[in-house]
Amino acid sequence: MSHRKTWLAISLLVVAALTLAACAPAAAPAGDASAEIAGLQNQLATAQAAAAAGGEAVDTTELENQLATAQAEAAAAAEQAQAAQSQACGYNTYRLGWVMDYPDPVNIVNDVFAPTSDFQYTFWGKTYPDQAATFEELVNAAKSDPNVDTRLANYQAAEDILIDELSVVIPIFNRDRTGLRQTYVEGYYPAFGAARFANWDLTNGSDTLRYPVGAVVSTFDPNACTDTTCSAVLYQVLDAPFQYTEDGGLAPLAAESFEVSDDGLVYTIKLREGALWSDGEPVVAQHFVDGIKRLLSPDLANDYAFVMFPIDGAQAYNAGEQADLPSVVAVDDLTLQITLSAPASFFESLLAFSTFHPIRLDVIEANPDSWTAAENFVGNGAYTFVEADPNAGIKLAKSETYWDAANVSIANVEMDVLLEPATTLAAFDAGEIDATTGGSIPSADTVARYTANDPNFIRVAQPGIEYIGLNTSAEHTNDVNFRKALASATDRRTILDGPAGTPWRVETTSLIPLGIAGYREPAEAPGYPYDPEAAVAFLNEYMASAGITDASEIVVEVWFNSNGTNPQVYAAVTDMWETTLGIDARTVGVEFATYLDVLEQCNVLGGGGF
Amino acid sequence: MATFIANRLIRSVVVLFLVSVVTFTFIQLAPGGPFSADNSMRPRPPEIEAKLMAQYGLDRPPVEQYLRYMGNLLLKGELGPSLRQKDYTVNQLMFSRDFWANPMQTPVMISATLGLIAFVLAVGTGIPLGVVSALYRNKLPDHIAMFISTLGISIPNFVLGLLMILVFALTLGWLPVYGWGDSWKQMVMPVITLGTGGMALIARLTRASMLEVLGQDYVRTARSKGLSERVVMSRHALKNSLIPVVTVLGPLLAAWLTGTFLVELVFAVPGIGRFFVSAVTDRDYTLIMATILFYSVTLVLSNLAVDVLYGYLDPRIRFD
Repeated sequence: MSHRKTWLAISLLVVAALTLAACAPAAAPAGDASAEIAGLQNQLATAQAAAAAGGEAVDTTELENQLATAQAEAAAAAEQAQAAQSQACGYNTYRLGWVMDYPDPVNIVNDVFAPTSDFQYTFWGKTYPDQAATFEELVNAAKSDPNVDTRLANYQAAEDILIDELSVVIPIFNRDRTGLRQTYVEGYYPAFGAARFANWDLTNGSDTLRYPVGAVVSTFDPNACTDTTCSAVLYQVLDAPFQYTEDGGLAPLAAESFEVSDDGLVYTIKLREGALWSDGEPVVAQHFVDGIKRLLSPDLANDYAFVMFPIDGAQAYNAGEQADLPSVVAVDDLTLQITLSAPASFFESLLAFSTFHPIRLDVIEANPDSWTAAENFVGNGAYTFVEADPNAGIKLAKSETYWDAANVSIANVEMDVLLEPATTLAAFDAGEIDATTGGSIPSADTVARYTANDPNFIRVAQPGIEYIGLNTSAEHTNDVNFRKALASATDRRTILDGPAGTPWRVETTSLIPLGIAGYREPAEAPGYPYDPEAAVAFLNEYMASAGITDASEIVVEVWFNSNGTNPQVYAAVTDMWETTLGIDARTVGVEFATYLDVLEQCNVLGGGGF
Repeated sequence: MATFIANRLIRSVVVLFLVSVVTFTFIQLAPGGPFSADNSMRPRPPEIEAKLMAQYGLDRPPVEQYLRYMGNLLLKGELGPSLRQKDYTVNQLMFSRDFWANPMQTPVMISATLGLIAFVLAVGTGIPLGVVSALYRNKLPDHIAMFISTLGISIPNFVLGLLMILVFALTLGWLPVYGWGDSWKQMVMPVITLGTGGMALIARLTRASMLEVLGQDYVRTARSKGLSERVVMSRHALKNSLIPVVTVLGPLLAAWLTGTFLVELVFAVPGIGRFFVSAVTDRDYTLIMATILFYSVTLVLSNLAVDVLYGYLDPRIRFD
């Protein structure tokens, strides 16, 4: 190596080291500043107290000056952060969707849109503190209300605040899933959880169901799984106490029955006698206790922990503030008892949800790093793993120890990972797969099969909505009339039929989705359906109050993550708003991870809460 | 020769170090993080996100994170835990839990097998196609060969893959639509789809280079010595015209051995090609580092092999 090259290499190394060092985040200024101010204030107070007590003149001027400087610096920093926030968070509207975790309005009205929720970026609680207080009263009353009617009425009243009174969110459509299924496949998909193949039949004489999944399997750990892909697998190998029936009710599974105490607080679940794990061990109540405790474990950061927060002390246990969870106990081998902090009628529906899957702690301890591998995994479900490769595919076989094995007609299940929708469609048409869901076929073909009434085309309920959120702290969208104008100028039907390519979907103006108690038919639903005249009237009202004479001066930024058909959909939305209202609407498409990051940053900076 | 290789390897270490630093820096600079959404693409509450970041040590200063990562990699050969597929370490995702149980069915080897067969196919058909073109310049065989290679270059392999599925799987029913490892039939379409583009590239390069060499003095000299056309072509013309071809083969081999995203996607081949894309969109930091370092190592080694080949093809090239 010549000297020149040596120098070149050394200088490159130096540059590299510098780059690395430059990535180090600046020390958090806000925290330090407030600590400094508090320290100075303490010193000053001590000095003043000493002066008062001793009568001795102490010069506190220097301390006072220091304090003033520190306070001024902190104020400037806060102002800077505020300016950065309003610049970075310049969105007027953002899109997001929500798929319900369990069938109760609280899961969307409160979990997503509560003023303090981490899942919404409208800042409405801060902009409208009075309405936010009323909203919280209504939701809190509903949460602990054992009477279904008054409960739903309260949720609907809370929904009305968001949709009717303030119009901070524009619901677009009710979500669902589509898929293909060969006509010889018989069985149902429940609205929550996942289909259980133990309930399915193949009438073509085959004993193997080929059911690919459309994404890699994120995890085989039931406490960590939240998505449809891992659920589709785990519901075959693990049984919750109950299962969802086709019409949304509950049917016994690992349990035979349950009772709720008169005050609605204590759930007593009687487990099935003689049920065995795939390794032959009996299934006992403690395994369900272990499952719930592991889900809520403060060390694991499981996403679904919040689902079990109605359990007394669950939130504190999850936060590490409480060492044990005495509200979940195994009374005996076959009796599981759970105590809630307040009556919650929706808790019943969770008895069939994955947050109730039992866990074998001894199996986890035996192989802490590989207990989810096919050869180590132990389940209490109808199937057991033969192969469990999250990237290539899963093979299941009927569990010989399953209590109801005699009634399981499909002996094997093959769940290949098929990421490319066009491949899935070709494989279906070539007869290489029996059924698939998750929208994993190309949208044009989905539309064609839907319009042709293809007997293989299926729609599966998946309660949830897609919506546009409105930033109440941004210019223009901070006005309620302007927000109502945008909502009234949104032609949801045209979006679904056209750019979204989902003509079978049901448009909506309300938050509580189709299929959930409390859902209101379009005629009674709150909100603002497409009505160009009303939209213009709302706009005129806004322009008069804001002193704007030319609508084209109104510029709104419409943000979305640029996945799937979103770019076309939001081009159409802005087009509608521009044509109907004459405003200037601009689309801002952002890559998904960046999109969420920006929204979250805004929430932290702008303060979603009070 | 040994000194040359040793020297190159030492310099490669510096290159790999720089690659790791640059990659790590870009990962740090990219907005978003591995835990900003849960697996259903829902935003995650900041408390849970912070807890997860702390669990994986991602709240530590970047320099510390980098040093720890490199320490684990160099001392223990560990590529770290996958941040998105939490049951697995990155080593397990790429090499499977037990590599030696079934080496040919591990993601790394599946990609390498697909890449290598496609490479052999591309070289094996591309070079003869180029030679024929050059020998019959502006005659029918040239036109046919160049038509094929133009098609090969201009049809994206995604489209070619779907077209092949349409014809050979759906219409003719000869081959299965997707899969890998159950039967040789599953390999046919992915290999051809991947190999076609490279074949076309190699054919065009061979043709151009061959035409240039055929006009050189030493070819005329060889002919005038009375050597047979076959010997002139194979020993004098072809061997010398391969130098530019071999130059592109190094990077091509490296790219194919380490998996190809689109071909693996279309035919659901469970290799490592998809990781190059999914790791980035998922912000699976450890997997991003692993894929890029793995690719860099393969590229450095392929280029080294190319340099060694130069000396064989053209003895004038010396290694010191």
